[in-house]
Amino acid sequence: MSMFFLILKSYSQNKYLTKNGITEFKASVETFEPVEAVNNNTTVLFKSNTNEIAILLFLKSFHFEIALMEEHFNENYMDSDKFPKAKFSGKIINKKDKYFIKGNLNIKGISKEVITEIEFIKGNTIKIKGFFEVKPSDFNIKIPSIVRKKISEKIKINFNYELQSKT
Amino acid sequence: MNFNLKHKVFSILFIIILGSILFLFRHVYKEHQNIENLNPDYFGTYEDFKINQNNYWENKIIDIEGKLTEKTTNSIILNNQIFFLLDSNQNTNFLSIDEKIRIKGRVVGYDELLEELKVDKAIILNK
Repeated sequence: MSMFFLILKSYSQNKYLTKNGITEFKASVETFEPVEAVNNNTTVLFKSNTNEIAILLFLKSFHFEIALMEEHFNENYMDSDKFPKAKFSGKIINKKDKYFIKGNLNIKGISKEVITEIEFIKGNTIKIKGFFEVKPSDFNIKIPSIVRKKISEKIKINFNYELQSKT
Repeated sequence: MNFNLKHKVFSILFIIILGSILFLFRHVYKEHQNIENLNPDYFGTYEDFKINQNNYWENKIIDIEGKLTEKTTNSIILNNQIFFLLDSNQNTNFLSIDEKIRIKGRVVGYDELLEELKVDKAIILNK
């Protein structure tokens, strides 16, 4: 009987999730009105028995300081009405005390493999933190020539997630 | 006479230039949409609201009454089905679980990982 509860307990601790994950990006070159935004409601689901991780965010939830920039981001660059979500699915890999996240990032219907080292701390909660860089052209995001000098070639994406055990 | 005319032309030009700079500035630095003043696309109770897994509700404003089933400092969940990310000026301290609340926000879409509808820029209306 106690064995049964033990199994049940370990099963319930398999899944970890957050709905308030922080994902932000920085795309500006220095000395320009910063092109950066933050998304405070990224969904992250992690299964500790298989090390699988799934991340989902809505592009319209990226908050920019400047409202017009947010409008341009959604309408001109990301086409958020047509492609409202950015998704990632992959695994967390442990190699010699180092942790990596590896998987496919899907933006605007285009998938691209991403691998990056992360900070991975497991206690009562699981903390996952790191960054990687992408090129807008990889996801068919066209930067008009008039602003090309103001948007950096590579866009840095920072993420910081704290996942709670799902009961 | 000549001087007066010149003066007039310069004044008008000055006003036009100033006006366009002001206009441009206001356009570039316009305010974020304020949910409070927008007309809702849905107004009613949770029971009558149909969650659509496609993008039917996307970007629409809903003003909805339901039961609070979960809360954090910056978010609440209505009837285990609709997730609201609150506007930064809101707080959830005075709310209690199972309480009936009215809340307004913008739908961002359906989250298939958690099987819930996500709403942001939300404001609590009943208190």
